[in-house]
Amino acid sequence: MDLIQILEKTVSPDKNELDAAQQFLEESAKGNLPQFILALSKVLADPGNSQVARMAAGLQLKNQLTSKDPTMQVQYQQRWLSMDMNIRAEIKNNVLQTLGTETTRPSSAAQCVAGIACAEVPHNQWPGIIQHLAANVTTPGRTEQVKEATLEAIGYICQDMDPKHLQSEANRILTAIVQGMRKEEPSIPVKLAATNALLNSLEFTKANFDSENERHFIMQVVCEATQCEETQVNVKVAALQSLVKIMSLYYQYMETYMGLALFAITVEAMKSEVDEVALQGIEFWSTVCDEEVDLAIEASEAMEQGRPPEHTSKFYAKGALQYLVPILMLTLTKQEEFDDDDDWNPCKAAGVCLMLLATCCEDDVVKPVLPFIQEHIKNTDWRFRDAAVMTFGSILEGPDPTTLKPMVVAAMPMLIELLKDPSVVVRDTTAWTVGRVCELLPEAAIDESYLGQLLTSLVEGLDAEPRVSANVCWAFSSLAEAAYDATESQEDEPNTYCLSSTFEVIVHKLLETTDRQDAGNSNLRSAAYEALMELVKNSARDCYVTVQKTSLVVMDRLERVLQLEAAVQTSSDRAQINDLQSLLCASLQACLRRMRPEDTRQIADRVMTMIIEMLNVSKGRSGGVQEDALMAVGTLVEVLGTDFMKYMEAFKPYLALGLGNHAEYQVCLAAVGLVGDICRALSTHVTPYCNDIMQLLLENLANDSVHRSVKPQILSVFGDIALAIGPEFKGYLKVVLSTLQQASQAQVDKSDYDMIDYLNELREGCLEAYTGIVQGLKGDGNSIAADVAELQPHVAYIIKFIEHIAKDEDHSDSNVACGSGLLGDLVTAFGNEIIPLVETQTIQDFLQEGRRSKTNKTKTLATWATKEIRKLKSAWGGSSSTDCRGSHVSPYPASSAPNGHVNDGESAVDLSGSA
Amino acid sequence: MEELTSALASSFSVSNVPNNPAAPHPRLAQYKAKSHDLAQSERRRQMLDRQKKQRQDLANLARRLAEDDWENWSTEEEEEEEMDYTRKRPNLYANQLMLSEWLVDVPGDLEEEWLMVVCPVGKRNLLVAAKGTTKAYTKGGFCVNCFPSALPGGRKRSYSAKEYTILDTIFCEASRTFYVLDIMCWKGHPVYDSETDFRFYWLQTKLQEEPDVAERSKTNPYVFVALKNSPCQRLSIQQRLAETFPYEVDGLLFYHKRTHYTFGSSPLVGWLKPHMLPDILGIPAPTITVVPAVDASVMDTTHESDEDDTETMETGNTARKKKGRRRRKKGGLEKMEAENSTEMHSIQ
Repeated sequence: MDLIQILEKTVSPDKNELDAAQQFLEESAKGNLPQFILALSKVLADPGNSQVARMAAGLQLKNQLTSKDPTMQVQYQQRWLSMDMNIRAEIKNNVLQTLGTETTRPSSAAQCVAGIACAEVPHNQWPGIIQHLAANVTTPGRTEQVKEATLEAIGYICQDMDPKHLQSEANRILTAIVQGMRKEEPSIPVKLAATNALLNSLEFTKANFDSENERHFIMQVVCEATQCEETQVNVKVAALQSLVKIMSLYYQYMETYMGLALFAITVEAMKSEVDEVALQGIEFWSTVCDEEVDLAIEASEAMEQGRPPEHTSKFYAKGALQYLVPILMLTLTKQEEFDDDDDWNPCKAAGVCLMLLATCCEDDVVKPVLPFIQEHIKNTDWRFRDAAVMTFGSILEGPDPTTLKPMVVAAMPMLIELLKDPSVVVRDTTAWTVGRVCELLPEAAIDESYLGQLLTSLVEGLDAEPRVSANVCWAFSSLAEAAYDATESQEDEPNTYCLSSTFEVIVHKLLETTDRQDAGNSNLRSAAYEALMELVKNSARDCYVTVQKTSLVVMDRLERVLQLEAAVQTSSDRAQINDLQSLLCASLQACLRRMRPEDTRQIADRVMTMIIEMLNVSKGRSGGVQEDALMAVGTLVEVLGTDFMKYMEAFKPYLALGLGNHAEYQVCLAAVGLVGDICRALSTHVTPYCNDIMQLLLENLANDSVHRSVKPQILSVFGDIALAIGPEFKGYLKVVLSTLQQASQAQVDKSDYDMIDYLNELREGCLEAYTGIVQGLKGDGNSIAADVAELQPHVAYIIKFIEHIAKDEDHSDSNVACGSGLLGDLVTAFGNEIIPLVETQTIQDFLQEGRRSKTNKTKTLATWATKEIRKLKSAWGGSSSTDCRGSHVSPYPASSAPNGHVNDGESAVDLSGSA
Repeated sequence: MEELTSALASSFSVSNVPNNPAAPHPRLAQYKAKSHDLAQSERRRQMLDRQKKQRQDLANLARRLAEDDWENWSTEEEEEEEMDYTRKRPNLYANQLMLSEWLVDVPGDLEEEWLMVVCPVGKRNLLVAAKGTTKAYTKGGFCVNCFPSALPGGRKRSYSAKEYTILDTIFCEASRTFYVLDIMCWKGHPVYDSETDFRFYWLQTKLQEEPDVAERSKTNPYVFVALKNSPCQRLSIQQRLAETFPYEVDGLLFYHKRTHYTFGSSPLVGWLKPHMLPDILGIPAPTITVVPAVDASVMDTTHESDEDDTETMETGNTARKKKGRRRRKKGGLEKMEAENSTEMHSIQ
């Protein structure tokens, strides 16, 4: 069979034929790939072949070049680049020739061109391709088909190639695109392809937007394209999409166009009967809000630092508010009665846009929405009732709470009523709105004039449809917190609060809700458990009996779920059981935190037995369950203190398993944290277990397959261990200090915010480790234990490390806190001989920064450290030189300065940020 | 054919397409969004936070630092010059006010670059509204009063942790009023590093935004009044002093427009008594009209001192002479300033 026939068979209705064709193609690709691709390109290029064969050839060719998996993608591109240049040239020639000769849409040749360009252009392997494509569009006399296919290719290239490879060609690309978008262009397909290409090109045409003339021209063409006739709705949508993107990318340049055109164009679009058009109109204003909220944040940050902001808001949203709001509210009345949760439609978009407008315009939003709410909240048409409630719910965040509170208090009785509305849509929206009131205006929610009524309705609401009931659960979560915060009690736990009388009823009903047959829908089960946890967490003393009872129910359920393990068959059963175990485990933790230690002790055996069983059965099955189980142990450890000793032998293997779980780093992280908890609880009693634990921790640090986020935590836990076992830590001192030295020298790519955060965490881990070591060796007696001398040779290095952090302007406030604390500890431990080291300007500035911090913790530590230093100095008899070079302590005891490069050869720490 | 078309249409895309029509709309998650999140990721974060806090508490225990609330420290005795280091914690409220020097050396740019505030007789207090209460501290950091107020962060039920307010005030016991001189922090935004111009503008506008602070109520037992500032042209000063004051006037504070809020005495803040105006600024001695908010008879009148020192000041009137004397008298002047704002009376 020849290739053409095979390709035609790839759409055969006969499964056998189809499989055979697929197999043939796969084997051909495994054989001589260059020849195979060349053959495909020939089939594609020959207009004499059937369209099916040509398209199938295009698809096969493209699939040899692109993949959705980024790593595969890179491999494919490298494979292509390694092919013989002449063959590649022939293939490229074939696909270019195909442009405009196909009779089907979209053009498969366009995709092939783009696929090859994405592989070659970044390596300068296809010079002139952009020029060639641009000429296809701009040269007079080219056919409509050639222009369309070429613009499609340009669009794909703009979409998929890293913008930095296209910047130099931006002018050419834009010229071609604008040519295709012109008003005068008679062909709709060409216009559409050009507009889509423009949308994709916006990221790298910044230079063109910077130039006023070019910007005017681009804006004119885009605005004109939004005005094309109804028959060209796709072009209109694409042009509006471009406006949305232009707004987010080039906000600062939009002043000229906003009043003249953009406002009118987008408001008109919002009113459109065509959903796609209306959606883009609404999205435009949602984007404006996003931008202006960011600008408001920037302005307040600038004010905080006493400088003018770099970019300023033009307050378009505020200006347009009164025109936008009526349109949005009317759009809210266009709900689907039986709505698919995943659908995106103008009604939902309008809800989100109103919410964003409220956040952005704050108090100003209230006045224009009130009349609509008042007029329609009792409308006989459910669509209008729902829109009124939705509007109300949407503006609860943004305006000043003191403005909103009286409105909310006045509206609550009506909302309570609407929780029983005949329309499920209205009930759902009302439950959501009540949830938002509880969260955002807690004082209004617990107003005693209707709290009783509200609670009754909410409890009833737990029987409603899952989506309504999930919103009710959310409301309970917020209510619990609000009620707790409202108690004037200065102590940890108030004796009673406004939920006390209904607490048991609510908890009981929530437990029932988690058992509902349909609790799997709308996340109801998790929502109910989460509400339960919040209630337990925020319970008053007089609710204690209920909390205790809840813990028993939760344990019974956990045991029952564990018995179900054996019966699990399908993967969806498995997922459900895992979720349930996690939720129950978390609920148990919430109870344990609230229970009296003596009561916890009584159930501790049962809890530990259960958790160990959970860890056993979930081994290798569910990291989520293991993680929650380990966290539950942590809670128990905290409550039991040294009493946890009796479980250590039995639990040890599971701790080791957790520490060794490199694949699921969250489990590993939970286990590392648990080591810290155990150290704090057991103190010196943990010594016999330390060898094994230290071994595992050090292995994790050196292993580059362990996720990076675990590593700072391990360093901190070194400090916990050192503090727990004191002088016994000397055995690990050498290896730990060398590890810390390596970790403290880590460097990261500063252009990546995540990596800056990571570096700060890593440094904090080091600081915490040093702190634990100094404090542990120093001992907690009044006199300084001699053991601390072992650290002496490293002191200068540690202080240099703190200086290094001080000089890094990206350091965190928390770094300053830990660094200050450590400085104070060092001074206390080593006395006046290290005074010269801490008298440097850098350290003094660092401490000053701490003293001026907005965080109490940091302030306290920095002030304390400063005083420790001063105290020592005055005892020593006046100040010493501020220059540390005069000191007899060398600043660099070890090999290199803290900012030197790491990894000369073997390294015990892998901090590359891999995994 | 159809399938092939759709395969081509959907399977292109080398990277993740931002506008993929097949994926849920990126804003869908914002629709009827619920914020409450006790999902595992949140529990994980809480656990890590708790562990971190416990680690630090333990470390601080060794440092004999209460992990708790540094605001309680201020109730302890004020520290002496030579501190007893063993036990006492630092008083974090001491020396937090920007204090003046005598304006004996009239700056050349007074008329353009300075602002003037007419101060009432009363006690200088640092006012901190945070965590649902409002506390007043003396310059030395004593906490002298604790009450609710309508200032952001100043009373129960209406504060979030971010909202706190720090003000520089003069307390008039008789009228139960805090006259606000300066603003250092509003709703958690510090403005220490802003210039006087801005701080004064901020003070006026922000206090206006909270009308409750000017109304006496159960949850705002003292009222707060922003002191007016005026330009320093001789005529403006005269006009200002010709107005009626609701309080007994103590003196005039002059602020340089460009100074940040710094701690301790600053050469960029000057202080003059009304009777010194003819001598120093060449302005006729003002006749100050006071219409007190409260019966003046309950007012304590101990706020008179430094007679001797001011007398000596009245003798010179050229800048150079004053400069010379200022240097000579510096010790005395500073003492005078110190006395001027030490505690004249104490609150119950």
